[in-house]
Amino acid sequence: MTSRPVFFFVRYGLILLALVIVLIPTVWMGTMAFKPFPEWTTATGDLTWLPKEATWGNFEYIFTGQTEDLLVTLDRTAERPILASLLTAVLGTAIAVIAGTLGAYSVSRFKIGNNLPLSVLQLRLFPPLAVMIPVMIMWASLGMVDTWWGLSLIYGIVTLPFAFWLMKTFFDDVPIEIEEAALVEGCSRFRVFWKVTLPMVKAALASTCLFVFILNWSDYLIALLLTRKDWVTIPVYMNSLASAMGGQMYGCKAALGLIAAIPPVVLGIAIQKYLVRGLTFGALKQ
Amino acid sequence: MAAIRLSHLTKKFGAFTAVDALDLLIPDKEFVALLGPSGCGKTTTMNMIAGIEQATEGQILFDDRDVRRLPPNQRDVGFVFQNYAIFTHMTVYDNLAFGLSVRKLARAEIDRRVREMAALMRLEDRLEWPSSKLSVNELQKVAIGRSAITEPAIFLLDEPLSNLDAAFRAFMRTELKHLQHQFQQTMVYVTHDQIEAMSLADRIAVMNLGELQQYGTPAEVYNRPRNTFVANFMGSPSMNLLPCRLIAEAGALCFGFGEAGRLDAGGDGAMQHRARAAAGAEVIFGVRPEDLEIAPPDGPGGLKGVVSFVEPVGPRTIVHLKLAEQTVKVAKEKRYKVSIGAAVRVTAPMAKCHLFDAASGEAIGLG
Amino acid sequence: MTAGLAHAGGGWLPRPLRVLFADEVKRLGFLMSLPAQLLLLFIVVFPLLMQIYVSLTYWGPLDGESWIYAYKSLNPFENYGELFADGRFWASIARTMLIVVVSVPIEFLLGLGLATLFVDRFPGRRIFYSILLTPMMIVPAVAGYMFFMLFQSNGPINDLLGRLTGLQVDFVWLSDPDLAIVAVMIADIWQWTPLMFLILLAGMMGVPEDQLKAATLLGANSWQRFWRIVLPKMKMVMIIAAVIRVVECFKIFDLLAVMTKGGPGVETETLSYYIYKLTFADLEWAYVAALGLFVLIALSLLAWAALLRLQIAQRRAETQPGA
Repeated sequence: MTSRPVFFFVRYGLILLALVIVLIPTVWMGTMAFKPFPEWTTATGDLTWLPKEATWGNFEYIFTGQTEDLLVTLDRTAERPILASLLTAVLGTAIAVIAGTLGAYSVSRFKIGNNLPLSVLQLRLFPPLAVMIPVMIMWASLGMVDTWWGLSLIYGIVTLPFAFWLMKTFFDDVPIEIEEAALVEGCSRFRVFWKVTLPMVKAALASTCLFVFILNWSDYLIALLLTRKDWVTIPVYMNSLASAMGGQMYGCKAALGLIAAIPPVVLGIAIQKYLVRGLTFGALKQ
Repeated sequence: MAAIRLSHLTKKFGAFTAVDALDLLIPDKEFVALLGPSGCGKTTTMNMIAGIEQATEGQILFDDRDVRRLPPNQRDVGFVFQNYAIFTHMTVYDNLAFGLSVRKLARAEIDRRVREMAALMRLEDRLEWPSSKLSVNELQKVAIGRSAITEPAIFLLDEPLSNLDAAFRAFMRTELKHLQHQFQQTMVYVTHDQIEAMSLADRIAVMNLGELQQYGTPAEVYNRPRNTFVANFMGSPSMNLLPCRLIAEAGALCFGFGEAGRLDAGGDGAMQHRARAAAGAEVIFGVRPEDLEIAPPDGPGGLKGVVSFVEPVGPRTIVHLKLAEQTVKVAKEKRYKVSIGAAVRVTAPMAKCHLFDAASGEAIGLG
Repeated sequence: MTAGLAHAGGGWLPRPLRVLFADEVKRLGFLMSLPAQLLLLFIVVFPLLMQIYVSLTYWGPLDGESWIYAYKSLNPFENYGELFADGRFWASIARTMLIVVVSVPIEFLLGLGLATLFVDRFPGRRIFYSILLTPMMIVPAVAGYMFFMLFQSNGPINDLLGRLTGLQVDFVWLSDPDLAIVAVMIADIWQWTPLMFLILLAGMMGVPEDQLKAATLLGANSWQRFWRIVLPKMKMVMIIAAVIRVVECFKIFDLLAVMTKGGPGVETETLSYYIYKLTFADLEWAYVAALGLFVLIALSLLAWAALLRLQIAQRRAETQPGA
């Protein structure tokens, strides 16, 4: 209500400090991606925050396997992991959102499948590694290890709780009177869902898709466990780069990291108003 | 206990002026109603008195203390919100105790005063209840008690009765009047309900479009409205406001209503005087429905009309008459019988009639 | 119409299902929840049984035999006995707990503090808000790599500290037995404070404004408003935020895997990372199954106890006067 000038400056001061802390790591990686090899470490001179001779070499290297600064060539380039990340995240999102939306509607409107809300939530409770042994055995015996469909399927399952809970809260928000009106008009229940309710939550559905996509895209652990070579995703590929080359490939990995980091940040900002709802499983709205 | 003096108080929201250069003196221990339609600036005015909103210009004095720059928690005002703003996470007891405990009073003292207030408000058996479980009527009592307990110099109420059911509203009206006597505080009361204002307030400030229209006792505002807005806003059914022509004939003045006839300004000196003041101007003739008389059609004087319909409203019957160009409402007693379509004649006692300037709407020749 | 369709379409079904399907709502509800139920069945019921089975044996992926034949090395509960004597396991749990009890409260307090700065409007609020949220949207493995770079002994953090203090700073953060875990905590705090901020701000914005005004008019200063109105009203939100972060932080893996790989030695080896090593380095899958099951049961008991407490609290609230 009353804002004294002191508080004004304190507020901006603190926010500025927070911004600096938030931005330092990101900026360091962002500029590193454009630094040529000699500027990566202090080994060959002073540490600089901005690249002295900015270069696209790092990007060139991860996509073509060679660049003038580096003697070693890369035997596996980044296109394939990027494709893998994209494909499995999209398919995983499709599985989670379709199963989640249908289930959520059933629980929200028909009170059928009442075990779902808590059952899917418990999927988030346990450390994935504690329950991965049988999953890995199953995936191996079904021939799903290191395949795009195997990874997509597990992504769909792991992010199902988010899709389910988000869509449930959206459906709960749709006034039931609108559906009743359509039912009186003679629509079947499924038609009401398909032609009336779903179009009403279109924007929410799109946000749910983006949200779930971000989660799938961000995975490292599951891809590490269930892929070997053909379908490794960006984070796994990125982490394997150094070990394959011996030394640290700061610039190249930073370039890769930048490519991995940008989509979720952009999408995350786009769906900002649903973030709270998504991250708290619908317990909180903004 | 304090008088409130507002001078040249102005509040602007961007280009919109919510309150425009308001001057108002609210005497100590008086009960003043800010009355007006929604959007007239009455709530904004109250919020500025409380300090919830900062005035754009002007002064707010409590006695001689300029409080305009004081934050709301240092102004020593009690405020009852329209929706009560009860702390839903606390019990009734903690709600009542809040104002005292933020002032860091001794626990025993707080307890004594909370119980006293609870007794006054008849909330003793609700003290331990979570306030989320109270009825609207109880919420209202908690809201008033919570504000009154700190014994603020000034007590502000923002439409406190508008959420209540009709029966309890009438009860609370008398209750509030009692409380004001008991608390001996200056009370400012915002409402859009003129009956509430009339029955509760010592003085009424009628506002419209951010401007003060009239300020006076209920009787003054009702009997001597300063302009057509006040005349129309006070009273139910509202005053008949009839455009008419002022005709001077053979030294006498009368009001012409076209085909319906004329009303003689008559021997009443005051009206003669007022009518002269307005000589030549287009005027509006105002008369309250309860002041009009219905007479048989064949007598002398008055205006000819036809009963267009009859509306029984509680203790009264409102007769709507169609004159040649205008319609007129007449309030009669409940048992009054007249048939629709009957030709009648209306007469108006000049002492109870009002005259307004047609262009400005201002009352003519008023004090 | 409903009944006719059901008969026409469900004739081939067994009788109990046909009864179920006679009702349009029940039929549609069943069909719509089916995909989610099947996924759950696939990932919960079947694997759980398999895990119990394998955990009672010595089976491993190098045995050359399918897990079905694991019964050949059946050894009731020996894996579980071993687990209680496994010092490295308990140490990893203790380390995980340490990260949780240090990082989460710091994240909570920082998030709460930032939220108080953002409650009311001021120029730049939207853009600052968006920027402050970015860390939690960055892929955790990438965030880990950012901090891996930052914490190099010849990296920018030492450089910055050196410039600020004027001294020669050469901490070997990630290889130092004491500093490595601190570095991990810092990274975790950097990445997840925004989540706390986001949730707590939403909660704070949800505190009814008129009640805050009422408190002010009753004489409360901003400090009193914060403690008596804002915080009590945010209780549920704070619990949600804390629970989510505790659960997630307990699983911590990605940051570690990139930054320290559990090292130096086992100094940053958390529960998840220990299990990872057992799985891929030691290939002791039967033991991992037992260990995982143990963790699962322990966490379930904890969650169950928490839910029970919540229900008791709720019931108590309902039996208060006025219910």
